[in-house]
Formats: sequence, C-alpha cells, structure tokens
Amino acid sequence: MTGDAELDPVIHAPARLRLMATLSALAQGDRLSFTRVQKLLDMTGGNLSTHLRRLEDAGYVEVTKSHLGRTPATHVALTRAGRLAFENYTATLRALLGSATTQGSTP
Amino acid sequence: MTTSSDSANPPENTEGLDLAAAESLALIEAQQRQVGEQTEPDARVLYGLWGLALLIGEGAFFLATWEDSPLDIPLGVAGVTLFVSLLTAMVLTSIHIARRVAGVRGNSSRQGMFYGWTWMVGFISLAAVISGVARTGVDEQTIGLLWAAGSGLVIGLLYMAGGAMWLDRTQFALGAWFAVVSGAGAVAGVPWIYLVLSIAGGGGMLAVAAAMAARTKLGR
Repeated sequence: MTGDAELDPVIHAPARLRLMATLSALAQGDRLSFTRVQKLLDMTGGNLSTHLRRLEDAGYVEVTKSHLGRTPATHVALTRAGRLAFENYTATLRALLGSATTQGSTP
Repeated sequence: MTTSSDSANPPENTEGLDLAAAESLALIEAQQRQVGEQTEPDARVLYGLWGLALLIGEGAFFLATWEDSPLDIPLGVAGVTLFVSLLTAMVLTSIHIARRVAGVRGNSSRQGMFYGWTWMVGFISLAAVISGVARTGVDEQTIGLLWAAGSGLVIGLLYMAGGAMWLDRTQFALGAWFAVVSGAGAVAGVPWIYLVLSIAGGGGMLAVAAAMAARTKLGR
C-alpha cells in the first residue's frame, strides 16, 4: 500500500529514527522518562529536547510533565499517530529493499 | 537519499538507496533490541538467583533432617541458611528489577506492581495459615512440611500466572513443574520434600537459566 511512498522526513534522520525506534520498543500504554531515553540513546539533554519537539510538533510523540515528590519528571511516549507513522516508515523501508514479499505482508 | 553521517555504525555509506534502507532497518532493530535488553528484567538472572537460593537453602534443610546425612547440620543453622539465601535473592531481585524498569511508567509498571504485591500477599497469607495450623498443636515436622510444600505451591502458581500474563511459555512450564514437584514432595514427606525442592526445584531453575543463557549465546 505504502510501497512507493516517500520516507517520512520527520523520522528519516538518524537521531529521530533511533528515538522513534526506542519509543516503539515500549509496550503500548507505557511511557519512558526523559533521563532514561537520554541514557538509552546516549544523547545530550538539549539535543534530545530538540528532536522531541520536532516529533511532538508532528504529533508523533506525547510529552507529559509531572512531579515525583519535589523533582519534576518528564515522560515520553509515542502517540497512536506516531506508532502508525513508524510502522509505515519501516514498511516503506522493507518495500524499498524489495523484501516486502518475504515478510509475508502480501499473500 | 543517504542518511547523514552521524548514524551509529554506518557500513560503507555510498551505495545508494538500498543500502541506506538496509542501514536504517538495522539501526531500528539494533535500537529496539537494546531497549528490550535494558528495560526488561532478565529472566536468566532471576531464575539463577532463586534457583541458587533454593538449592542452597532447601539443601541445607534436607541435610539437617535426613537420618543418613553425611553432614551434621543443626536445624537452626539450616533455618538461618534458608532465610539468608531467600533474603539475598529477594534483595538482589528487587535491585535488578528496579534498575531495569527505572523510568518506565504506565501499564507494564502497574502490571509489575500488582504482580509484586501478589507474591507478598501470597507469602504473608501462607505464614498466617501455617501459624494457625501450628496452634492446633501439630508437630514441628508437619509445620516444616507445610512451609516447604506451601511455598513450592505458591511459587508454582505465581510462575504459571506470570507465564499466562506475559505469554511466557518457559515461565509457565517452570511454574507447573514447581507445583507438581511440591505436591509430589509433600506426599513423600520430610525429609524428601526438601531434597525435591532443592534439586528438582532450585536445580531445575538453574538448568532453565543455563539453557536460556546458552541459547542467547548461540543466537548471537
């Protein structure tokens, strides 16, 4: 369906691709703290914030701020649109590789 | 359509579209695997810890209660050994899980919390049941049997429930094994139930942990 579509430019940049991949590995309904994402990606806070904002503007990521006692905590999760966009993105990659048939997606 | 140069481990980056797509897919898979490995508790560690604790703790009880025991271990020493090994396993389990799931919030942390409370309530209730039975004046050997069989049953059922909840076949099978050998051990009576829980229970868990570790190594 999305075989010859363009690769989503919001996702198609190494830093954001890894960020999307990280969040997509979480179970649906889970969120990950900003600091943990930072560690998993080995990124600076400023760099991560910039990419998160870009994804948030695209509606792919939801950032929630809360307080754990006194310390503020920021958590990040993919939105439904974000998950869908990421699935489309990987499907497009597979189609580009010509492995769509071996994936069994088309009978 | 080439990715920019700062991607993690780029192979030769000049072959055009297909390679760029392959690279991106590899990047995604590597990242997802890394996240899974670092944010989920490692079953090999948990089975290893509890397998060892049971092997040592229940083994000590067996050696203390078996008539032909080659080692003359006082019952009190066996009790302390079991207590210390279970406590150690519990503390190390808590540290391991807390480290892995740090920063994860939402459904799976709620699931984990409920599951943790299930263990806690299960063992507190078991203790209450056994202290109630103890007040009827049964002998110490019966109390020992109840503790051993009761904890084996709780462990077995909670592993089966965990297997059902996380669709984990290994955990489910290990739980069923525990429940069955605890029942069989109770029929065999003291001191054999301690031997069963030590070797079949603890040893079985260690074997599963070792098999899982070997499979991961081969899979790499």
